[in-house]
Amino acid sequence: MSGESAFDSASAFLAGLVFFFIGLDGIRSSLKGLASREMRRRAQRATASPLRAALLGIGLGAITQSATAVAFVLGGLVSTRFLSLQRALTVVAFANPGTALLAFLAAINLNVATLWVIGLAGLAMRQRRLAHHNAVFGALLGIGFLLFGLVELKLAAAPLGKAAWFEAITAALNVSLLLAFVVGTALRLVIQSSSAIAVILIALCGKGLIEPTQAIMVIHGTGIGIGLSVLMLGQGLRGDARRISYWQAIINVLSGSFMGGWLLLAWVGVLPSIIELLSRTSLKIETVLATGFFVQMSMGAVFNALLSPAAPRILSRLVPDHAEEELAKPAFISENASNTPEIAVELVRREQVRILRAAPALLDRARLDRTQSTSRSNAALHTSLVALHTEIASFLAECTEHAHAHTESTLFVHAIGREQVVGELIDAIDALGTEVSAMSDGTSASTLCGGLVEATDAMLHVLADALEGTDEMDREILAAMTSDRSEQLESVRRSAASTRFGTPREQAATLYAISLFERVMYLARRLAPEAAV
Amino acid sequence: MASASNATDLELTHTVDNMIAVVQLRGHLDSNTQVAAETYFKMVVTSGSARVVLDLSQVDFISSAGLRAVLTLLKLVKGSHGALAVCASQPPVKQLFEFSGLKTLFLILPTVDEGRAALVARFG
Repeated sequence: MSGESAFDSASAFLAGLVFFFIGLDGIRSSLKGLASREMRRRAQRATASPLRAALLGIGLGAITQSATAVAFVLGGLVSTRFLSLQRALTVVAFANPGTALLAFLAAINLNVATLWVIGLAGLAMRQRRLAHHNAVFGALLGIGFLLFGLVELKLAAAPLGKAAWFEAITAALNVSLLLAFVVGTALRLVIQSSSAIAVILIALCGKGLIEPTQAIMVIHGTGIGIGLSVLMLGQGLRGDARRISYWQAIINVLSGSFMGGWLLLAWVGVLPSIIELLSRTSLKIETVLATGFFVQMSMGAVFNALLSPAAPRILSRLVPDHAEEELAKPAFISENASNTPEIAVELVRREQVRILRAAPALLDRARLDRTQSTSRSNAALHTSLVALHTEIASFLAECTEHAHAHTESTLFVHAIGREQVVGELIDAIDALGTEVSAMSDGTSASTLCGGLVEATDAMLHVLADALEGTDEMDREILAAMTSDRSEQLESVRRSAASTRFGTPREQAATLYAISLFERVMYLARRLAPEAAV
Repeated sequence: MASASNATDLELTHTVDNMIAVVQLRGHLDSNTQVAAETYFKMVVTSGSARVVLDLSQVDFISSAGLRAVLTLLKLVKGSHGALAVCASQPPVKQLFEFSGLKTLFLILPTVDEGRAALVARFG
């Protein structure tokens, strides 16, 4: 390969990687906007039984030509609770043999299909009439970018087959089976498609450039490569999405090792190899290799079936839940609870208390009390709080649909209104934390606004106490803390607006922080128990 | 009567005179010292002093955790039919009390003597 074409390949590889990650982020963020209970039920129906999940996996694997891509897409679905982890593992396991089907068929032009997905989804997102479906089109666009990234990665690797060094490697492969296995692992890390490697090897074998046994050993080595590749690409994932990528790695490493071990035993004459077994039929050598590849990929599904009872335990040990992920999951509300209005509203109140107990941590980065600061990710916490809020809002909407009597509907409508206030409160607290944390330490602005942050924090704790318990004193304290103090704050505003206070930017930031403080106070007042029905 | 307690960054002492306890704090009242302060307040009130003057003249910083410790003291004295006066706060501390809107719940006065006098006037 010339220097110029190596540079072109490196450029395409880099761009492909970027498209892959942009697509991954796009799918995740768009699916969060789609995470209604209705959509979740549809996804659950599509994978209602293990058979359906398996068929879906084979289909997705065949279409996307990458079980890795399927694993990442499903990671997004599971983290937004469209799918259970157990079902997603089955889909991913069967996506592996799905990818192998393409070794039999002529390669589908995934590139053209990907461009259509990107084009149509992108155009649809620009249509105002379709604005309410933006989350769907956003997810499709993300899938398009992800597949486009994979296509670019494959295109970048395509010239490899013609390179002189590649031919030298294939010659070396005919000498050592272990080397063939290692090369398969390495090739899979570079060429992000096992089926593409299989197709190349089948072509090389068909031309007599490589022995069938060595070719199938390279294919077996890709199992380890898939595992390593998924682990590397999934570095930034958390929670269930990370668990799925681990599972994809585990079953592929096991199937690759199993098949590789089998071939080594055959090599020393203990038992016949898969090539020998298949060669006893009248199949062409190309089909024999394709079948060998399919068997290896199917072993992933077999290992999944064998290990699936232990999967949750293994994966939760490998990837423990973070506090933020636990927070995002409802602890009290459930599908069945929506039938009894009083119970449903009570459970919602408990979930709201969970939000209010956790929300003050959004202020940690802006605290005067540095001992309160934690290393937790503010963005992750905000995302979790919003996710839980969305869950509660969806639950209440569902309850309203089931409500028959007028009093029940009124109860739920009121609860929906309060939940809306909770959502606004999360955003106001986050905005206050962001604004104050951006101020330079030691200035008049940071001292004053730090005081606002400490007062807000105390108010939120009292609000949670007042909502959780029945202590009259908590309610009295909350009423005092959220009482209208516009005159007092107007005086603080005038002081902040004076020229002695600080730079114009500090003055503007302080005035905004005061407005946010007033907003938090107003929203907390609306959530006070006295404001409830 | 006098008693004392030391947390990491907070020193607490108190004297009782004419059924009024004057609790003096010295240092920071924050999340590190909140529990120690609350324990001390509980000891003061349960030992029979439900009329409390909180002397904050030596406190240079109160965080929201410290504010909650003061609210705990307020609950304790109210629960014992007493009253609380917070006195001699330094400007940043006073500002936090103002932002928190708590002046309707307890007395906020410039000096300890004024605090003691206010409680004497209320309870005789």
